[in-house]
Amino acid sequence: MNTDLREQIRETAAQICSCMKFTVAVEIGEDEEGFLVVFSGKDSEFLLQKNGDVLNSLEYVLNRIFSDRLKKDLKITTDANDFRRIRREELCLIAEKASEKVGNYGTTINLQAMPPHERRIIHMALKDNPKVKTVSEGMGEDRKVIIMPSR
Amino acid sequence: MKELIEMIAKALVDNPEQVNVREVVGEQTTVLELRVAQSDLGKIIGKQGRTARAIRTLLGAAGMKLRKRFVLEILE
Repeated sequence: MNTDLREQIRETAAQICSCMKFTVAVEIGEDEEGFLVVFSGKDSEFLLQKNGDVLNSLEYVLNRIFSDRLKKDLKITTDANDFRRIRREELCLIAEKASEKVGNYGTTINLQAMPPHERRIIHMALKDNPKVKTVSEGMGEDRKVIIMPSR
Repeated sequence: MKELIEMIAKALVDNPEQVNVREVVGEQTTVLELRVAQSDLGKIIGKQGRTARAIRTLLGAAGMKLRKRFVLEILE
């Protein structure tokens, strides 16, 4: 892939952080989805406030800045202090607990609003569970997963 | 924080030379007034205001570390 673009993305991410007076190291790698920007160091925890809201905002801004230069199916993902992996485990646990309740009591559970990739993790975690089905409802930032009995 | 807004705005718009940020420093709160070319307003605000909201979140996080409040105003 384009090493120029890669370095530009890293540079821009580092610049934004230094403008925010955050002391962080920025590394960039490539994965199947596109580029993965990883922050580490002293101030990286500031990026994880509000359930990763800051990290997600940074990701969104980077994608907007480079959207013209990225190919259609590529995107920039951000991570810090292993947040994405930990959050994934957390979401799988939430999915499991909620689906147990739905399976046992036949109630419907609305999860809290989540960004698209987090909703996807919930859907994927429960897609093979015969007792429940999942749908997303709501608009934009308020979109949430609803877990209901499959019948 | 002026540099942060200037840097992000310039990277987002088609006419970076028309990006202008004015910093109004208050005791607790600092207001950042951002002006861009009329045709670039959409790029700064984004679909349903998502880009503007993301920039404000970054500003808020930076403020949290400095224990100050920053407000972004996008002027037409």
